[in-house]
Amino acid sequence: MTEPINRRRFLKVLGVSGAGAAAVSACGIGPEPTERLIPYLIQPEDQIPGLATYYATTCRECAAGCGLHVRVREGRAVKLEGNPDSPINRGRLCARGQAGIQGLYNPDRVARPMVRNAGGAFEAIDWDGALQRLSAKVAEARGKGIVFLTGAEVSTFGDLVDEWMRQVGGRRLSYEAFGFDALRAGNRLAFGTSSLPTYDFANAKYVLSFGADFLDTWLSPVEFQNGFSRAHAFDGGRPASMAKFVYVGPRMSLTGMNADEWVGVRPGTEGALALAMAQVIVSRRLAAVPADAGRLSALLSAHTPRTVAEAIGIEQNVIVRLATEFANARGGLAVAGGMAAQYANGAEIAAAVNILNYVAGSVGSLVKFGADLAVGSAGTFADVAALTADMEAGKVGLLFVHGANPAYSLPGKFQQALSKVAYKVSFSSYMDETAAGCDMILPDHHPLEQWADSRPRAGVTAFQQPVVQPVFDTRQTGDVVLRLAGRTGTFQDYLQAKYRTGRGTGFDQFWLDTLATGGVYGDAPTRAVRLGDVSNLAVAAPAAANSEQQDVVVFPHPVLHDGRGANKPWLQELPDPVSKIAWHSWVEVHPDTAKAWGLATGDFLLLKSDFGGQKFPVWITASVRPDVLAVPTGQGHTAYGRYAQDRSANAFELLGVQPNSYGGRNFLVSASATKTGEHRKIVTTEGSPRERGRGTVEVLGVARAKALHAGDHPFHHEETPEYAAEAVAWWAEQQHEKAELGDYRGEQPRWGLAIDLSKCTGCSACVTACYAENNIATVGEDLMQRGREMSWLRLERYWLTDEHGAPQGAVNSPMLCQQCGNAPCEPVCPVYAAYHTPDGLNGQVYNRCVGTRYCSNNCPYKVRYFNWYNYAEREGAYEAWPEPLSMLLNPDVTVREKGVMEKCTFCVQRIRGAQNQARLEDRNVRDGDIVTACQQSCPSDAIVFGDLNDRRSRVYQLAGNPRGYHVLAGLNTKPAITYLARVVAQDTPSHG
Amino acid sequence: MYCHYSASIASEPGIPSLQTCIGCHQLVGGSTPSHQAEIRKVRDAWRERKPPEWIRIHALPGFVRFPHMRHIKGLGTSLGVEANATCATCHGDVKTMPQVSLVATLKMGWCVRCHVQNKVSRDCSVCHY
Repeated sequence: MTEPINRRRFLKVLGVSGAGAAAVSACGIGPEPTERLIPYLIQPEDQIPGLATYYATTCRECAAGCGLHVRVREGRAVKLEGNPDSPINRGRLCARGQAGIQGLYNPDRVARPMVRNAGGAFEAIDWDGALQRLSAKVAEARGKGIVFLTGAEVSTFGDLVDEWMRQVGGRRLSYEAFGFDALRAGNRLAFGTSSLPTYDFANAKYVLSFGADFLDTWLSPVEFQNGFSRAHAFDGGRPASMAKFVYVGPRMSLTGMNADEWVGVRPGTEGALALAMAQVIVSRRLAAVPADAGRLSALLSAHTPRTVAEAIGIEQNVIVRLATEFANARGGLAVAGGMAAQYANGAEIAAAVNILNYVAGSVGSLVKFGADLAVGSAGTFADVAALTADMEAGKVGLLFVHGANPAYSLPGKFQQALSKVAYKVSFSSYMDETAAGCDMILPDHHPLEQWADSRPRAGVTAFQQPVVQPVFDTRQTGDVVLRLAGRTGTFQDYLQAKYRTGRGTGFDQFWLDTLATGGVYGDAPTRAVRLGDVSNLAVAAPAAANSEQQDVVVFPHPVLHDGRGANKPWLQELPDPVSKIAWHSWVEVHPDTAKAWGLATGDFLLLKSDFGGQKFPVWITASVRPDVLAVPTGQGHTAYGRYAQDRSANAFELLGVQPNSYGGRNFLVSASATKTGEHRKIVTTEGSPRERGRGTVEVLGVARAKALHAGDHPFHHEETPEYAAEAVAWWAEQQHEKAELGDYRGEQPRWGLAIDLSKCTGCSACVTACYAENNIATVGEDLMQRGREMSWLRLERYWLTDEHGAPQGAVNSPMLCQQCGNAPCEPVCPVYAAYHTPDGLNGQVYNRCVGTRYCSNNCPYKVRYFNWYNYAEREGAYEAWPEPLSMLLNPDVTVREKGVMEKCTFCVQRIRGAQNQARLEDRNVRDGDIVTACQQSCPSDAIVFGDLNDRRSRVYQLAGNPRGYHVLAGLNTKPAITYLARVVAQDTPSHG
Repeated sequence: MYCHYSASIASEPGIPSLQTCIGCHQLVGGSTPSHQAEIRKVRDAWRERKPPEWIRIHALPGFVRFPHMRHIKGLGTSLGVEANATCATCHGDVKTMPQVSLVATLKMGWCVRCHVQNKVSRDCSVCHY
């Protein structure tokens, strides 16, 4: 022994001699096992190992058509990001868009064509054999009713299918479970057009939503959230002013939570409220009255505040106040027609809101017809109900289904009708309920694997290009249709041919340019509309449920949507922004109602409507009216893969299958509610719904916020006490000395974040982006019940209440590692795995961590997460990435093993990457070079990252904002994250 | 760098594809019998469309993130030498080796010593994250 014995060497020798030499490499002490390097035969042109290639394409998770930039590493897609060139999402992406990559690499994808054999089970078949069989079926079915059912498909593919259907004497029908039929019918009633306009939230001065959830599921959420943030956030786009947002509806959705005021009206009475407000505006001449307003006089005089106040359930003076505020804002925008507000009188409600916009002068300026949103082109619910009836009657001989899952959203009825169709073919990428009922499955490529285009709104053509080689033996449905139609060439040829016309030799350059930007982006001319004859508009609410029954509102889940998100573990694990419940559905019950019925959160209620019954666990919340129950869609699948199947209950079972008067489906039903006696500990990540003055969130009234000057400290600010001042100074000196050892005396950055709570809506796009970027494991429902979720960034939701204690909205605070300057976790790590880096980060060195967990114990923010199990273990009990899901892992980030603590480090891989790039280019890192994953995805631009030591950086400006504060400042942790207080339109907001 | 093409721009050195090898070696046949034997292996591999399986000599454990381009940039400029000698700092004089072998331990102490000598960052999180 020539070296002195130290602790490390002693343990090393002990480990080796104890376990035996053969186990040396397994313990990780000896040399690595020999690797072999196999080079390419021929180098692919655009792949450089270690550097990412970005491709522009389009997200198809909903009909909004946001542009994507896909980050591809060595031929694998690892991260989806927004395309800054797209005018729809401007570089931002919602949680559902981020999770699209889990659809690409989903372990439950249909890997090859399947056909039902004589025994009734699915068996694999080759493509040529399948197409031969199908051609024969098509020939056979001519004249017997051929139907091709798609989702909202305003695209070249849709055009191709239309062409082919004409050729074979069939028809195409498009179906979206959330088709906004009420809004379309309301537009037709008021303006004679059922097309959907676009809404200019960015320039609105007052936003009034009648159940339209524009921040989560209504039409184009990312675009609207971005615009809304500019109008509503305190320092949004204009100097210190904010548009007030009022939400009218029976329950607070994610959108409702962000309102400054919640008007909890009886479901169905929103139309009466809108007309009463219009009446006030016209009668008191609060806005420039349009020339033809005289035609409205009869209708409006029947809906004065006095006549409607009682039916709606709010005071007359409130109606007058809202109308006055709306008109005086000189830029009020009222929106309606969300799915949860699709009642029997939904069309009339939407028409009434159109009238309100009309009299306030917003139509043509903030409500712009001419955009013709693609989701508005889908067939109505009546069309699909008619199809179901035709199928039931045996009038459909051959059915194709692509991009729709009607067997899930019309459970029972469609499944039954499907069995009466002679032959049915699904193009689904997954074994969903509809595919499970079909005779042949010809799996389509995932949208990330195919050439396509779509027109999400007029003026915008969004292109898709394959970003990876197809993962499985799938084939683009466009190619299949061309083959069946007897045409030569692929769908790519067909698509290019369309754009070749009129371009001649310029086509090649056009194609390359368009693929680089992701599409052709232009504005659609605004179409003027005229008010139709609305004198007989009947906005009366449907009768309330009788005393035996309850009004049940079925609302779209913000991330699972119409059920399509349920097979993606990131979306299942994401806590619902309002209820913070994951992996399960729930029914919202008001505390008074729960008390009357003797219910606790987690007790099961069986809801039985005239159409079906399902049981849901109760979540007690004051964010719903006492006489209303609310249930989300999305769970309760009977197929669709391991993450979705046999989980919770399907809310679509409660809904009727008959279309209502305007061809839509009622999302409000009467149902009986009975306790089943069962109980379930539902998974919720909510700690406490009330902030209790702990200093975690700060809220300011708008008047107070406007009066602030630089240097003000409006919040309780704890100074370091005198007795501690010396100790703190000594500690700072120690840190400085340690930094000197590595010659860090030069200018070092101090990385910091600024999070503006006035912009954060709680949408949780940042959380899913963080999962995607940082290889965070999903742990599943059982482990989440035990509090083992791994999300480095969580959204804490605290209710804001009025003077009576009723909730008016909520403030959402993203909570992540604060990278404290005086971190409680650093001194307690015995192995220096948690330490302070010279550039201000709280570093976490995974390979040093031995799993003491003292750091997590000491963290006051509780933002450190421990790997209790080996989530990366192939075939392990808690495997988070079953093949091929592991292909989406980011190679720049370590995949942590069991026994290791992990947490946010401000995307240190992106920081180092930008620093490396800057060094290669002989320059310093510039402000804006480094964008954390959460910042990049946030549709509201609420998170800003940068160098706090750079006085010209955005984050430095924001950190000095008088609205800024540190969470739990009194603990003297000196966090690097400055939160900017939420500003609400009330003068004295209180919070619990 | 022609063969390890990404070493100066990315963290990965970039193993040359067989197409790169045959680009030169379809003409360069070798001057000695042993050279010719080795180059014949390259041509056989190309003809059979089967790239050789190289045995990895310089391998760092998975918890180390080594950015090649930073080191080439740093050593290339501060030592005032051409890229050839920069590579030799860690890999030895590869062009004279009949078979590549380690000339350094590649252990962390060896890395840190060079960092201290060249007065560059010794912070844990530049390599371990």
